[in-house]
This record gives sequence, structure tokens and C-alpha cells, in this order.
Amino acid sequence: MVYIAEAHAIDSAWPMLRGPLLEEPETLEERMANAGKCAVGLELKDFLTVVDGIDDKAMRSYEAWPDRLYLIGKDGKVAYKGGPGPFQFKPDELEAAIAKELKPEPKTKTADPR
Amino acid sequence: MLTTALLLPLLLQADDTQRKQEPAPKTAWEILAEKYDANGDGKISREEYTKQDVDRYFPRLDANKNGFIEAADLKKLGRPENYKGEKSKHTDKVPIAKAGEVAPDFTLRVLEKKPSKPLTKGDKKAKKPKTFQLASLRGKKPVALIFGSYT
Repeated sequence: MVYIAEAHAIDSAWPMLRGPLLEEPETLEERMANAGKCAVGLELKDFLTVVDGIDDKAMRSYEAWPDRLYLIGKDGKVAYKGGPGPFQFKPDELEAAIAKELKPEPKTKTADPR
Repeated sequence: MLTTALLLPLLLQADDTQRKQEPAPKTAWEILAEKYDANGDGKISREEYTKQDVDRYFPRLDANKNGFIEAADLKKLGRPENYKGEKSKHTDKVPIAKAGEVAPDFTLRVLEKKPSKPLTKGDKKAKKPKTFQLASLRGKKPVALIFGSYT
């Protein structure tokens, strides 16, 4: 997971006061603390979590706010760019992209021995 | 069957005890008051509000515009009519990720279970914070990126 700017913090333009209650961070350390609460609250134990800098550079590069999915191929190219979340946040599309990426290369046809 | 009948009340009891031990979650007002209401008078003035970018945040929280953030203000917060999403404060140009093109690289801090201490001068024992560079996996394996936040 790439932890980016909050979507509905208490002091955001659209606060949601029924979900997790966090303030918008002003330092990387504050954002890391929010990411830590998220990892505990959502039990994100099985994958690596990295935290975007307070310059929001990764978020802006990947047009990722408030959430978005990507698959970067083995060749380092963007194999799948999901639509902007939350309405176009589609894990099944990512799953299909992963399956396609991991499919073994089709074997080149060899001449028929007969 | 009998074992289940005997165990069930015990299990339920254990569950109840566990629930009682958990403190009630704090409200948004309690979170802010704890941090900013220095004189404990039940309201937060601009002077007490220690966030750096006061002009960005204070007016959002002072819903009735009386110069203080109070518990009642927070009850009024919600989706503004002209809401267009949150914009980053930063506007410098960055490379944009496009399907089929090389993914913009980044090196970011890794969230560690036991965070490494910040590197201080003279402290030889302190570890450097762990980072991850996307391009380090180029040619090695694909990477799925899930961007998001807790809120």
C-alpha cells in the first residue's frame, strides 16, 4: 500500500466524522502515525506499506487521491492504471491485470516434426 | 453438544469482559480539545490552534465563524455544496503515470512495526529509516500499488 493524503480527515474540506478520526498531517512523521493506525485498524499485515512524502509527490505523479490501483509490470512499465477511486476503484480489474502479467509467455511454434 | 452448551456461556462472558475493557472511542471534538485546548475552557482559539497552516484548517473547523472551534462546530461539518475534492498544497510539476509507459519512480519511507530511531549525530547505534524504491524491482518482479488512506 502507498499511504497518501487523507480523504476525509476531521479538518479536511469534506470531513467524515463517523469513520476513523484523523487530522490532516503536516509532517511525514504525522502521516506515518496515521498510516500506522490504518495498518492496525485494517489489519494490513500481509503487504508492505510505504508512506508518501509530505510533498504528496507519489500521489500527484500517480493521480492517486483519494484512492487508486496500479500494476507495474516486471519491465517497469505501467501495466494497469485503474480509474480514480472510490467509484472506479476496482480490485477485480487489478486481479485480472495481475493474472495477465503472470501468465507465462506463449511458446513460439516449432516446426511440425511429422 | 454438551461441551458446546457448557462452553458457550463462558465464551459469551469472556466476550463481554473484553468489550468492557475497551475504552469508548474519542469523538472528533475530544481529539482536537485534547491537543489544542490548552486552557481547558471548552473552546479552541486561533492562538491555541498550533497547526502550522492555520489559515487552511481553522476556518474549516470554526463552522459558525465565531473565532473559536467548539464541540458544536464539529457537529455541523459535512460535505460542502461546492466540494471539488482535496487538492495537494504542492503544485510543482511531477511526471504523470501513464499506461504502457515507464512508471515514475519514487523512494518512500517504509512503515515498520518497530520504527527505526531517527539518525542523530554521534548516535552510531541508530538505524537509518527503511526506504523502498519502486525502480529497485524493475526487471525483477511486477508490483501492485494500492494508493489510499485510512479516512
